[in-house]
Amino acid sequence: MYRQPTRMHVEPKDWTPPSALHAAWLTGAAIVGGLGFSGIFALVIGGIAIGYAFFGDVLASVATEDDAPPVVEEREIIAARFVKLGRDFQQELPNRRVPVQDTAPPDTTAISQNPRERREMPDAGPRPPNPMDDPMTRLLNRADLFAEIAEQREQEGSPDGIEEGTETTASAGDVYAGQLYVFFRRGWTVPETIARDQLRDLNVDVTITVGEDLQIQSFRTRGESANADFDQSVIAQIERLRAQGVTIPEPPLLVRPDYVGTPFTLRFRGRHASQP
Amino acid sequence: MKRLPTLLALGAAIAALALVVVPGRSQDRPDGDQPLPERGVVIEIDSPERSLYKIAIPNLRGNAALGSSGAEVLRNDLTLVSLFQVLDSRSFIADLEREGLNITASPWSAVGAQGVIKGEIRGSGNQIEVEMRLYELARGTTATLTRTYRGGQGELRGFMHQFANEVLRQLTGTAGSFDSRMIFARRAGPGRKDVYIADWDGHNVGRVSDGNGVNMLPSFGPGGIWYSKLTETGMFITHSNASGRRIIDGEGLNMGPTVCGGRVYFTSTRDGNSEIYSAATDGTDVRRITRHPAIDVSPSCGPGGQIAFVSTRHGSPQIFVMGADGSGVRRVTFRGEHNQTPSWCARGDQNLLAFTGRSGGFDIFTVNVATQQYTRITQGQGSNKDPAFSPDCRMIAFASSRGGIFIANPEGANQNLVIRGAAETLRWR
Repeated sequence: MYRQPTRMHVEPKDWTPPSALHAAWLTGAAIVGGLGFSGIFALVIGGIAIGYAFFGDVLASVATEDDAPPVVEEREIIAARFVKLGRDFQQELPNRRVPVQDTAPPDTTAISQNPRERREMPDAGPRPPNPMDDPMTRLLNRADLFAEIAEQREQEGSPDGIEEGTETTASAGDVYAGQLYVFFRRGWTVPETIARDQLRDLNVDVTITVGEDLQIQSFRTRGESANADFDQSVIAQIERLRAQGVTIPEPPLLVRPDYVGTPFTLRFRGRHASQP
Repeated sequence: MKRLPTLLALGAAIAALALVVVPGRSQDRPDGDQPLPERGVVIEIDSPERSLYKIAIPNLRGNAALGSSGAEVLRNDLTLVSLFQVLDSRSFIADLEREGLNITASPWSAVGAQGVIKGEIRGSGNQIEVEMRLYELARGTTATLTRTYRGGQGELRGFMHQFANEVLRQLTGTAGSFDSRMIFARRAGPGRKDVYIADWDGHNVGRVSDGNGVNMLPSFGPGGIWYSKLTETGMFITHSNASGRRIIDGEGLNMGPTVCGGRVYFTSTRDGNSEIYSAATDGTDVRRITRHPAIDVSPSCGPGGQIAFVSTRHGSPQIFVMGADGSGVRRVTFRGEHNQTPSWCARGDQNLLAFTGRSGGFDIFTVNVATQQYTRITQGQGSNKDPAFSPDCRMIAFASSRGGIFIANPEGANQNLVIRGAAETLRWR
């Protein structure tokens, strides 16, 4: 039989979660239990403390050898002096260093006037097989080939790099900047009358403008060094290149806008001049 | 209060403007010490080659004979010092008559000249006036050095040497030593050896000793040229103004004087062994400097009061250095088995000693006593001994079996014979 649900009456306190702030009155048993537990806890902690204070001294009085502090003996410490690694001792007097005589004709052209020209060499054809080669010889030759390849693979830098380079990895811009370094430095000389210690600190900037034909269109020095002969050597170098109509190396497409049609700067520095 | 925001905004605007304008002005100002801002790529070019300074020296104007000889002295000086390439006068295209003592830049630049020396001799009889000018084309067509000399015709060579010294000072910062002289000993016959003096370029050779007996081991010093004279019982030391008087004498050998710091350093065997001694320039106050059972000989005065000498105390003849009182003896040659005749470069900053070393035959070497860097001056060029630095250390002279006294640069290049005939124990001041 269906019964009509009765309306549930809810008091506000029924929704209030229990809280310690609203603790009910403690019963006698609770009070006794609490006091008893506190007392026992205090006795246990106190007993541990008293026991350690008493028995700790006893244990310390019978310490083993491992527990005994190390005896430090005072002794003199002598600082050791080490012999530095030296070079091989040369007994003989040296040979005379003879200046290398440059017998080649003066290099009046830095690069080809027409760098785009290429000469096609006729194909020599395949090498005829040598019936005298035995398998061992072929094996040794192949091993040499691998050795050469390995040697090439171990070389640092770039095949497009320059001898004066110091970096082992390069971007297209760095490689090309090195080529321009060689181009503008070749044939640059400074007179012997400039003392080496003065030459080391001399430098002068030159702004170069190169046209689409890769030839020097104009140049302008910016400032001057402390030595007119040094400045003149730089001007003479640029004028010589311009008068000869030489072309700078073809720049990579990536960096071409930085060098063709746009002025760039060459900073000529007297440091690291060659020995006489 | 209403104006406050406006004032604040105005103040902020002024501050911002100052921050923009002030740095901008410093960038635009063409200050010689401040580089202009970089634009685009900058490539550093260094490690230039070195080349000789190209200089043109036409004959002096005025007296043709004197003008030619005077110019030749200059050309010789500047060629031997190994810093210049003296251009062939036959290549000159400038109109010398029209130019006079002045120059026009283009004809000299066309022949590659970096410098031009011009001069004019005026006067008659024995008195002349010589005006000399140096032009540096890098600095334009105004003379950078002008000198006038007055004197007798016989002084022309000296004037040219002096001007060459000034040219070197102008171009390098250090004067040359073209007015210096060399002294040396030379065998004059059986049982006879004399001391001679000459201009460094071989002119004006004259005898210093009295022409009797064996005179050797000369040295420059107060009172003239000091040297040793052999006697029947030993050797004594005298000088060119002593009229043969024995300045330093004693038992045995007394020889090889070198004078510095007001004292004479010499080798003597008076105590039974060859040792180094010093004495006052009048021969008094003789003090023994070295005390070693080995042989100690050949003292040589150096910069800073150092005395170089040869000793066998380490088994073979090597070069040692000590203080003026004999303290601080240290060995400075460690290569080769027979090193002798030390001679200092007078410039203390160079730390250079030249010496004779035996490597096959006798050859000339230099050593930097601070870095122990050796340079060989001669090799396979006969027998070469007794080196001497020029006062400016730009040249080294030495006696060679190739026919006399040669001069080379400190790297051994540009060797030239300057004084013909046998010679030994050179000194140069």
